[in-house]
Amino acid sequence: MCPVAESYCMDGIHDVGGMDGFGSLSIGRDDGDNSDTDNDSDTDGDSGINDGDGSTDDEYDPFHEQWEEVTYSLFVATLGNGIANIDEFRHSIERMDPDRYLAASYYDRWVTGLSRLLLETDTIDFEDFQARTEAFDTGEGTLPERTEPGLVDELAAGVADAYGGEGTVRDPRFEAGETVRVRNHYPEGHTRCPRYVRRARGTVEAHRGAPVLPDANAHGDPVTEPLYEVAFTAQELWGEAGDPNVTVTLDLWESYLAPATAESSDTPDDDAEDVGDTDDFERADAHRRA
Amino acid sequence: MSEGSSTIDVDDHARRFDPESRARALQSLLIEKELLSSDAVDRIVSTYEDEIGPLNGARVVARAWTDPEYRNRLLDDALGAIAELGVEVNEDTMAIEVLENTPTDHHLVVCTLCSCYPWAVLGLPPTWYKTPAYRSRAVKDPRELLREEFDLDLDDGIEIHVHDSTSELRYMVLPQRPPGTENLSEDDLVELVTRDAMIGVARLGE
Repeated sequence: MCPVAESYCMDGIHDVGGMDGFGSLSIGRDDGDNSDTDNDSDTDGDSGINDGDGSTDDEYDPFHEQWEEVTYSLFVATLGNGIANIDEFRHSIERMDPDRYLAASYYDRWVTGLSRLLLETDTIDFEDFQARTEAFDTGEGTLPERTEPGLVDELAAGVADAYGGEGTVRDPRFEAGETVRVRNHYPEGHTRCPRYVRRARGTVEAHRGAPVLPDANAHGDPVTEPLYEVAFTAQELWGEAGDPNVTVTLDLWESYLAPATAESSDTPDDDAEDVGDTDDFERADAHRRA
Repeated sequence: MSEGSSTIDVDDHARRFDPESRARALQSLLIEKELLSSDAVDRIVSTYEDEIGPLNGARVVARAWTDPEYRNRLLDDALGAIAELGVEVNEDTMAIEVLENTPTDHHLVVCTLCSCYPWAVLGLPPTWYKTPAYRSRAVKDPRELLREEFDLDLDDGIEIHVHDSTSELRYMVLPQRPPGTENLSEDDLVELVTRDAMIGVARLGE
């Protein structure tokens, strides 16, 4: 468990759906520039996107800097060795300071999250990490050379395990076609229920098995729970400004949802009465407090 | 977890050193601890650069355009249909749903919380897909976003279905086959399919 209370922070800066003001994507779409000539890592950040992300396979270029390739490998090593699962990894990024999150490039966020996980699990020692970072910063760092054929396959298998997989499907509480309301719930810690759908009414499109509940799995409890595709109209989410011909569909776990019964659920406080089964949330919360 | 880690400020450390130095530090420490190896790094990188990419998705789309029964299987059981083409998807890491565009319905894929993406068929996501600018706007203002940022002008009457990828169920768009391609072979059709069309920020032949 993460020992610092404020690091539980869930409604973090990563939850950007529906926010305004992030500006243009400034995609260099038609200029044919498929090279990354700028070595400043900040150009892979959130404003400059003219980085050769071509839209065809010929131009496919997933990494723009060598350290980004390394970072992806660190992710595979961290999950593949069972040091953290995918939800713990996501949560490690969500706990970044908001200003850092926005300023950092995508893979910088990954390095930050991974270093947090490796330190919290005592996989590495902070003093070693600090000294080693300084060495590479001043050009004095050296990379050990070590080959281990077969390791990559072990890591791939470990990564698959780190995704938590599918649980036993118990009877789903909601049926396709049913109207549901997203609970007015603001848990501490990780969740995959974005702010912008909370308290909104949507329609269950389909039941999608019973994968592990991220809210619990990110805190060490791999409980599984029915998952639903739930569709919302844009006007339900954004009011009168919503486009009448837009729907937004999310995959939401059962404990995020309550039945949208009549008038009672129009006030958030009534959600508690609607929800008979809050066990998983309570369980996840208990883990966070532990 | 370490008690001592409460005193470690990862963000402060990250402010003081660039990500390259921090990544190299972690790389060297993990290799020393035998949690990573030099050849594993090379293999991981080459997998994502050479074996996985949007070409896999393009092959799936071209087959669906030319084989109606395959299209039906793809919409019904995407993982099974994708496996028929020899594209490897580890079911432990993702499920896939394919969304078919029609003249009246357009699908758009986003991950507002991070960067979830059907990487097994499209490769790793483009940088713009991972930005707050795309993630914030796709769910609130998709028609204007497509018009202003992607030169895709969808008539107001076309229904836009935005899919926010909040779980390990990942979405891929089956674009409409462009007009005038009736005589092209499946291999030629593969060449027409773009990654952007499979995310839903482009329609082909427009």
